[in-house]
Amino acid sequence: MGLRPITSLAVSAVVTAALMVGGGWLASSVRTATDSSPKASSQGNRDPVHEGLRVDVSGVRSELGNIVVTVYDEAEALASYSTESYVAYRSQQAVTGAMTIDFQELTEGPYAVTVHHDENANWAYDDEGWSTSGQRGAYDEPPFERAAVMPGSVSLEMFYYD
Amino acid sequence: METFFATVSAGTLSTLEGFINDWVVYLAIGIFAIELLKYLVRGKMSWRLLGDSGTNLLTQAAYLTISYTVFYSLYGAVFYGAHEFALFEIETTWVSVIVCIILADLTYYWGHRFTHRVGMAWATHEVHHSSPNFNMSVAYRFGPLDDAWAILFDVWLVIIGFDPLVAFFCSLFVLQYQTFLHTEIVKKLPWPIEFVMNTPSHHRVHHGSNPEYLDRNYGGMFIVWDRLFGTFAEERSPVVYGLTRQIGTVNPVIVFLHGHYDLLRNVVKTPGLGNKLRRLVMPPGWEPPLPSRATHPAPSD
Ligand SMILES: [Zn+2]
Repeated sequence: MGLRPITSLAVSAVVTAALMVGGGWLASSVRTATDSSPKASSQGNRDPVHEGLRVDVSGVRSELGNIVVTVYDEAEALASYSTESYVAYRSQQAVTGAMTIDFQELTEGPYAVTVHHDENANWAYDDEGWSTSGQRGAYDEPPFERAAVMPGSVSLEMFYYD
Repeated sequence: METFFATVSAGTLSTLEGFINDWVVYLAIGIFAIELLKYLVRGKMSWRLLGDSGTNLLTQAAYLTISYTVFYSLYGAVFYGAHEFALFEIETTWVSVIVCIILADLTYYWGHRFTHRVGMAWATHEVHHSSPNFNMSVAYRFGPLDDAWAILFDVWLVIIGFDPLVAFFCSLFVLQYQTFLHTEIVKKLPWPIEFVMNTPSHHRVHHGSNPEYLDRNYGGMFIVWDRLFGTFAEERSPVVYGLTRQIGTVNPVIVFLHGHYDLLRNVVKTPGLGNKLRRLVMPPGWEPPLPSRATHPAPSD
């Protein structure tokens, strides 16, 4: 066609970088349904009998230490696993297998829920067991939009990293 | 439309990947059967041709063995490591998978161009180009370190922000598409396709050793990158397949390792450390400059 190709390697590199970043930006602007309508989440099924948020944790590998559940209502706090700006927090003696932790006071939403299995009970966030609502795989860190659930119940499966 | 924006799970992607993988193989076997029949009818069938095809499959077996034992885990480690530095938060939807495939093709273009123009990378990629024939079996003719160089370029997809699994899937998809380019039974496709997509015609040019065809048509799925970056050539004169210096053997061990053997031999025989190192990064065909005239004694007259 009439267009002249780019022959300079430097210009080609800049064009390539621009296409990569532009494509990434475009792909990042596509948000899944949970983003625009947090009222209907795939995980948070409203349970009419139950008030508040019920967190069902499965895959707890041992009864060592504590299961720590932290609930956030803003993206930044979730992203940094903030130990200050959370809306609710519970710690319970770990039970092998499945556990349920109730937050009857959480009736607003949307919330993002994280679970940490502090096996050595040192109260530090080291690489033991973790899970976040909406998480799809061991190395997935869901953004708040995807992690968001409404009051009702939410199920989290533990991932272990050591 | 909804489904395009819905989340795609890792399970869906790997199931799809397995499905595509199977069908690429079934179709390639079908096309190869037609090609063999055509060779027979035209009296071009020979033991040498069959031997070359068998060798192609053996290089694939060796390549896959190396990939499964080394490179797939390296891919995993590099991709998940690089994901920490992601520029964008990209959710996995069909839209982002499609964007990722297009960008994976762009990174493929540069990776492929790199393996043609940098001596130490050409050593593995020249295996793919060393067959004097062109049929479905050549699509499976790979060198030992083809994956190693690809990682350097594919990792940018993850740095941009695509999920490591999505980036891996898309990179693989770009390779699988190219299987079907290795055939002479498709002449030219309708021009809009030939303009945008990489086709058997464009890829025959890429495998040509004719001077006007050298280092042309690097694209994987799309030929627009070559049109954009000035590396495109149209198929006009008949293609002479293979290397500019044919290897002249179907011995699978020699075929698989000849690139690295030649590179090593060339490095050893090249004088001077600087020139030895230059040999590793300069394009194939590069020769160290002759010692400058000043170092010679002046001719006496
Ligand atoms: Zn090539």
